[in-house]
Amino acid sequence: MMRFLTLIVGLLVGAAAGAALIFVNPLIGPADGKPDDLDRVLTYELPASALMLTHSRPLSVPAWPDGVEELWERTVRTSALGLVMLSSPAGEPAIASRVLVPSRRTELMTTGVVVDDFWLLTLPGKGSLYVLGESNVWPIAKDTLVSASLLQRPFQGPRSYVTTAGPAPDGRALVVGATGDFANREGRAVERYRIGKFTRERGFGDVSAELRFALDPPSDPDGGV
Amino acid sequence: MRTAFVVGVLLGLAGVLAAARFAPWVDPVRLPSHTTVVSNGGRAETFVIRLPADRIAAAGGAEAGLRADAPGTVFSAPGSAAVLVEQFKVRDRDGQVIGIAARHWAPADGAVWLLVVPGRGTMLLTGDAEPARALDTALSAAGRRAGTPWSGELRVVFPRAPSVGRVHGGTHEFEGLEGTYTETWTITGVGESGELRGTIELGTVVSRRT
Repeated sequence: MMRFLTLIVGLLVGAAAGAALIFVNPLIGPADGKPDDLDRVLTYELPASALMLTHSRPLSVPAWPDGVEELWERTVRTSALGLVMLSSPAGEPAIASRVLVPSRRTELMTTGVVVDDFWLLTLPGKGSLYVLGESNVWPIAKDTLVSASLLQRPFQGPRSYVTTAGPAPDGRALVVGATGDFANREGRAVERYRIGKFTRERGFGDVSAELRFALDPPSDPDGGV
Repeated sequence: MRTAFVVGVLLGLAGVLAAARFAPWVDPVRLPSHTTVVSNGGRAETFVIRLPADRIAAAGGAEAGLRADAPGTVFSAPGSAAVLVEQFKVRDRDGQVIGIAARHWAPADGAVWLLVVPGRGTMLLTGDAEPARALDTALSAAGRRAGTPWSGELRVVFPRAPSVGRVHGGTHEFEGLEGTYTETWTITGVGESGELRGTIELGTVVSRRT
């Protein structure tokens, strides 16, 4: 009996050690996407720029506005949908629909907490494009939801995070042009967040983000001849 | 006793690490897809949106007419150029909610759909834009007076013939597909506050890109 109880205690100690190893896991580092050579920039702030956010799970980021239809059905209840206003450095507006869906790539040893991150972005007067990405939110979750909420350690902010982790081989998101100036063009994109504050009581505060992207030059309709 | 403790620690450690690596943390619910084979070897599938129940949010200006004017989660569009953004839940032909869709419209650039079906992937669709307030114009022709409720049956198809909507592949199950789509709006009523009642059917025909 004593031996059995000792085994149970050992199991619990081992499990705690495993959880601690996962928390400090060096195999899951910052996302791979490099943003600096992507010349187009759109920025937004949260929550000011988010016209609408809906999902079905209680998070540190609530759904808004009040009364918005929630994603409660079992096929969509782990997804999130947002409507976001962005602007360029020159003040040109853009509007985006954004859908987040948990990715099967999620695992906590080598990859992280990955979400499929899909944007439909319209720049009025210029056209629309898609951004098809994978975002690794584990670094943000570790510093906020785990450290601050669970372990009650103060958030060491402000901090910047690049979340884009593919699916392109260089770790960036894919850009697929749809209409207007962007039709038939492709490119790459990376998103970077700056989180100013996080507390267990109030959640996220002073959050800003930039979506940087670049498009391949338009192909010559005459074939260059 | 010491041995039992050490064995317990190793088992606990191995168990947690194995779960972190191999447990299916994400296993999306996937309903059977309702596709039919078409004569040229492609496959057809119809996605349905029920109005007003499946409409989540919209953003647009006066040029968008009723579609940006209904009660609920509606916002003004940015800038001065005409744009209409609509977001919906999407159902299969059996009426089960299977995904989420966003439609962006700009008269000069076209209409663009992002269709996300968790567990299957994302489909990208583009087509020519219908004229501003096209649905309002059709409703007026069907006898509705502006600002009043209406009931009846009106069917409008976008893009308008001879233009054809294009499917440009997508992700996961939809990656590498190409084809065409039509968008059929069947409006059976307009409420007192301007909300549309009816359905939108996205009929797609796709095949593997060669």
